[in-house]
Amino acid sequence: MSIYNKINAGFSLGTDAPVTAGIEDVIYIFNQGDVTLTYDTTNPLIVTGLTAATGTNIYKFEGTNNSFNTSSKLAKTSVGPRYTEEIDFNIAGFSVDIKAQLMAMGYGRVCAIAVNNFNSSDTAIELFGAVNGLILTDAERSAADETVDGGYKLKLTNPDKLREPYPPRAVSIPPTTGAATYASTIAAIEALLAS
Amino acid sequence: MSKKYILKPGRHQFAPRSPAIHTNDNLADEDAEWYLQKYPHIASLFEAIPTEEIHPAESDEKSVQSLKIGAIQNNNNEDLFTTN
Repeated sequence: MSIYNKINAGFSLGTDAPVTAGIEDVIYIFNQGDVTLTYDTTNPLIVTGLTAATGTNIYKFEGTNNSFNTSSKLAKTSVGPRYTEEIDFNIAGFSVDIKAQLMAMGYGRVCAIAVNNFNSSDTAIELFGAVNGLILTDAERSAADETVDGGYKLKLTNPDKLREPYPPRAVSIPPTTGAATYASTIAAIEALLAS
Repeated sequence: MSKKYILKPGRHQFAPRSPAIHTNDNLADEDAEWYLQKYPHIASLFEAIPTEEIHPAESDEKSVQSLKIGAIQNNNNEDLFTTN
């Protein structure tokens, strides 16, 4: 991006693919130190590859009822725009294993991939925490909470004093031959899941 | 001399959290060899990695076989030539 401070395109409103809200009830989370990223040669907003180190995986957290959410917000600073990121999700369960995962997300940095309900876009699948990672900043469980029936309400955000230099990256992974599609990207991510 | 180690398109991280600066244009064969030793998982980022170093015995056998076949063909030709 040599000319980073000049816009070079507009936007036409159309009815072909109206934007829709929400993300799918799935979040892919991986340890930031486990996976290397490949970026598009010319556009740092596009991640074209994920490579897991030997013996490491991506992990899938599933939910229901459109209860997951992502948000990113521009923060104006003296050195240019930065972006804060938040991922709200929940775990419909309660066990020692879940507690262990939540503790790990509180200590170590993770990255998260969310899948937008609006999937007819080249940024349908988004990566959060690409540069500085995310940590678990809220993990709340109220045993009598009716909204999640005693499950955990969780929030991943940027670590203290850190923000991302770019908006959430688009994940767009091509198949062996041909252009990247929604399906090829999902297949590439699923291939990295723990079996 | 043509490159032996060819990276797939894109700007690659070789270690997690490192800047994504590695491209096929700026990666020499010697560097690729070194990075592959230190970070074996990046092998899948390459389109081409020389195989002779991994299986040197196989290539030797093939070359011996091809020599033998060549020698047999030469002998046959000589026989045909003399009979004609």
